[in-house]
Amino acid sequence: MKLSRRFLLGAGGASLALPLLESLMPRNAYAAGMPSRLLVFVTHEGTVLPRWMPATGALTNNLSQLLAPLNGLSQKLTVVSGVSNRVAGLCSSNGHNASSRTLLSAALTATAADSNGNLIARGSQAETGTTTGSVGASFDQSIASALGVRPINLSIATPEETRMFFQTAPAVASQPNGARAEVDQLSDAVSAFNQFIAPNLSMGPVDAGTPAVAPFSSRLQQRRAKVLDPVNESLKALKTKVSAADKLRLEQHEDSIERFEASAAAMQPVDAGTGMPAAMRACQPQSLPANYANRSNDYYAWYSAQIDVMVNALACNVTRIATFQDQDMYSPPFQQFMASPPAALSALGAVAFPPMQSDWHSNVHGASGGGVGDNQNNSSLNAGFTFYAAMFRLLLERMNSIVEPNGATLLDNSLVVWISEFGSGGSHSTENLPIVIAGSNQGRFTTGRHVALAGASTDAYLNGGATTNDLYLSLHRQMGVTSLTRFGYAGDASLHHGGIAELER
Amino acid sequence: MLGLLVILVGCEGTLDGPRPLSPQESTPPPAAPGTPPVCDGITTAIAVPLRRLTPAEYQQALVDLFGSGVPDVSAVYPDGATGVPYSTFGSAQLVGDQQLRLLADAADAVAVALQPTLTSCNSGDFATCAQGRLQAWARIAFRRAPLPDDVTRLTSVATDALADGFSKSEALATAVSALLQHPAFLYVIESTPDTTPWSLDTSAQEARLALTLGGRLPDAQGRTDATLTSLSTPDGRATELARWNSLGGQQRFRAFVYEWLGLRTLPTVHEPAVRDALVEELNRLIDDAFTSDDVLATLLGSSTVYADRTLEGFYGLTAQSSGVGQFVKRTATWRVGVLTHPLVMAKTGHQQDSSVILRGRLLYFNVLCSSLGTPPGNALSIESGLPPASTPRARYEARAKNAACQGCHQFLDPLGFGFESYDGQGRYRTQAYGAPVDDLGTIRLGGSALDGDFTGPRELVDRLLANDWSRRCFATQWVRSTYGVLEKNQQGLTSLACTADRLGTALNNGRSLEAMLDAWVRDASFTQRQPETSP
Repeated sequence: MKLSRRFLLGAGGASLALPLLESLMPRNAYAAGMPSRLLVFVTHEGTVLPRWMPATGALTNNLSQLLAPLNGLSQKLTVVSGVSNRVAGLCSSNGHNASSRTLLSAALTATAADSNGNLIARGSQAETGTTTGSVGASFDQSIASALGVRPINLSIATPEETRMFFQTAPAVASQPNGARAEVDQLSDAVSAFNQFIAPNLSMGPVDAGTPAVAPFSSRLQQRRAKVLDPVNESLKALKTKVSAADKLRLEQHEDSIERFEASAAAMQPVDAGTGMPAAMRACQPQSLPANYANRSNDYYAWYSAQIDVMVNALACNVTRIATFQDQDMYSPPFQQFMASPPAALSALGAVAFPPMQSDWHSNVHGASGGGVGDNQNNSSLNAGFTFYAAMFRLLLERMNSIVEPNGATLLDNSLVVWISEFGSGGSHSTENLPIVIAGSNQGRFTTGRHVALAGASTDAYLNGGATTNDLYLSLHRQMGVTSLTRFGYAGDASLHHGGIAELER
Repeated sequence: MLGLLVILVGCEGTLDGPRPLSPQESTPPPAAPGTPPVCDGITTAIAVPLRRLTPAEYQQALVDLFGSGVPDVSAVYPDGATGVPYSTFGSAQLVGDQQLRLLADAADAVAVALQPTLTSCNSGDFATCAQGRLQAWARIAFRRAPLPDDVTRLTSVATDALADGFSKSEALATAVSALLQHPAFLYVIESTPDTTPWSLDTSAQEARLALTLGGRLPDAQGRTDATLTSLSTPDGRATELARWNSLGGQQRFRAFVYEWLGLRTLPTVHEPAVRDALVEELNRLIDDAFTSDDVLATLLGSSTVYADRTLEGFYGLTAQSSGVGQFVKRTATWRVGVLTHPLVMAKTGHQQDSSVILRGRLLYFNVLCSSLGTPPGNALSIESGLPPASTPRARYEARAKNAACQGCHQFLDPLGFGFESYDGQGRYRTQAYGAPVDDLGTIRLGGSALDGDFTGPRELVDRLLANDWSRRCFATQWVRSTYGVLEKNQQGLTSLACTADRLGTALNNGRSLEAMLDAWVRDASFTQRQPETSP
């Protein structure tokens, strides 16, 4: 077995050139900063807008009733309101199909487009069935493709069929009008880890409940400073036993060790609990949540495990793009899973679910249906939307605990976009979607503010305000993809305003 | 043992550490080109700088320590030996930030590969077991008994790793990584803080023999008290020399000759199959010299050709071989020792063309041991600005008219013309540039008996072999390679020049490599050291 220098410089070993474990750091990290990373977090059935909407302007740690779990992180957030998915309104739909298919693609559904991608007159469109897709890629996949990145796509859904994320190229010939194939989402964290992370980190597969142990080679690299300690001590002793000329030569070696150790100490903040550099801890996945094996009965454990996989994938630079989707519109069946939230969620305001109607969808509709601006004070909805916010907070906390080589946290170096297919869930409206963006993308994105675009319909955003087409164009730019001039359905100029300037600074 | 030590007091080495010697004059006066230094009254103690193991030595040391199953990390281990005469030159082998990382990479790769096999401490008291294993490895790796503190530190690496959750085999492997980055392993050190000359102890002498002649760490026999004790006498050293020479001397001599001929890296102009066959042929030619009664005459003057089916085609010879890899020994008038071997000619050529400059440079520096200043920084631009010329001779004449070039090229290019009958791939030719080959060469050392014109390599070699300077130079090159340092510094010649001269005398008298090596271990400088006058 002959190991090439290239091999060691690449994956296995050389990583400690710079004192940090480069093999476990983003591969394209460079002196000027870390690579931008994007995480898209989707939950279903919108929100109750009056209870979700924080005050405009600078955010405080008194966000709103339904965003209360995020209090304390307000300065790392940007709340965006007034962005609408208007493409959904171009497509015939039962209220759910088009809103879901178009949410992230801002493109027509397959049944609303002709073979040239042009919009079919609404009256001539076939009723959107469950088999339709989008004729455009979702923005996360579009960015990943432009960056040459293989994204990790996770969900809490069985079967793994959620119909929001679409690939960049038509993959199913039988689909009409070049419909994009759905992204393959992994709902099992063990499978996700074993398929996505383990091969990239040269780890063996894990089983549920079994700690994932980094390979010896990685752990040996992490100990490099400790291994060099006795080497340096011996160098110091040896210096006293050689000639003056040789002493100078040994001092060069000694200086290199001391530079290494000094920079390693400076660059690797140590986690007080584990004694392990925080970044390294993230790249050495812990065991899955204790109850993960029973995930079908423990929604919190399931969610937590998927969050762990995503964060590890980003922190270890297995990918730069991660997506996560909650179950479909009928779930989660909170009443089954969440009789008593775990302490971590209770501390964030999550509560046990009161009795509710048969499923999440029915609860959102409410007994009387609903409409834009509905302000249902429904304890079940409050509990459900608060649960989502609490889980989003846990995700952010996890990312915020990882300090990266540039001294910022993984959260600071990333953009985390939380969005839903509806604004007002009760009315199934695709107007004024609830959007929270966390992280500053290494300072390229201003946080601690509420960017309210709803009132701008008479100026920059004609005909109904900013669109998801605009939002995703700006997010492409934030991620360094600057070649696009518009995103999504191109046949309606009113959808496009050149992006959202407020989100590009 | 005590009685033995008393008896050995009068011997040249010591068993228990360096012994101070009486100071003498440390440097000889300057010597004229092609003439030996004046060494009367010059100390026999030499200054040898610390050096790091070469990649080849490091790899072989891994085999010595852990067996043949270790991964080959010689391409990972940092090789700083560029721009220096020999890979042993310590000044090129030091450790900066980049080297530190590569050393760790190499050590970790070995540790990871060994870890599954390091199970001997999986039962019983780990710390005690690990200490024993590390003590034994360190004795081999450090070429002497390790200091207790060093063993303690290495053991702590293992026990600390175990405490941090590593398995026992992983913890032991972690300490192996530390061992392989330890300065007592990496560095060959023959100095002390003393400001007066001292004598090497026998462990250092054994390490010197093992590394120089075996390219490896002292073996089990070399580590025994009996062997170490025997090194206290010249006869004992000669016996140990013979043992090492039989174990690895031939391979090491090959390695030296390759570097002497500028072949640390091989030329790439040949097809791979041809290159492989040429390497095999050159090895055989060097092996002939290794056992020859006249090592330099065989190296420089042999007319032997070893050709298999591949080289018969390359040389244009009639078929005698039974196939590829079946080498047949024959002679050819165009073969004049290793200097005319295609690998050497191609290395000193330009793809398909010869180079009188590169060939003259090889001869001037490596075969005649002369030296020149460095080329001017704009040498290449001057060269490209010279008037166009159709032949190397015409181009040289244009070069010689330029004052900035003439100072050095008057010595180099005329030497190189002697090899114009070999093209850029090293194939013999009689015609070049539309005319008979112009291989009229000139030696210009400045007043040396070697000076004068010659035609072709045979006349050159005959003249070289008739003058004792050639063997003195060959001995000097071997000394440079062995000690990793030039026999001169900014102040002038060092006492190492006198060591080289004495070995040159032995070679002129005995002619064989064995004669030179025997003189080496019997020479007082084998054991005696003095501080460097400048780092």
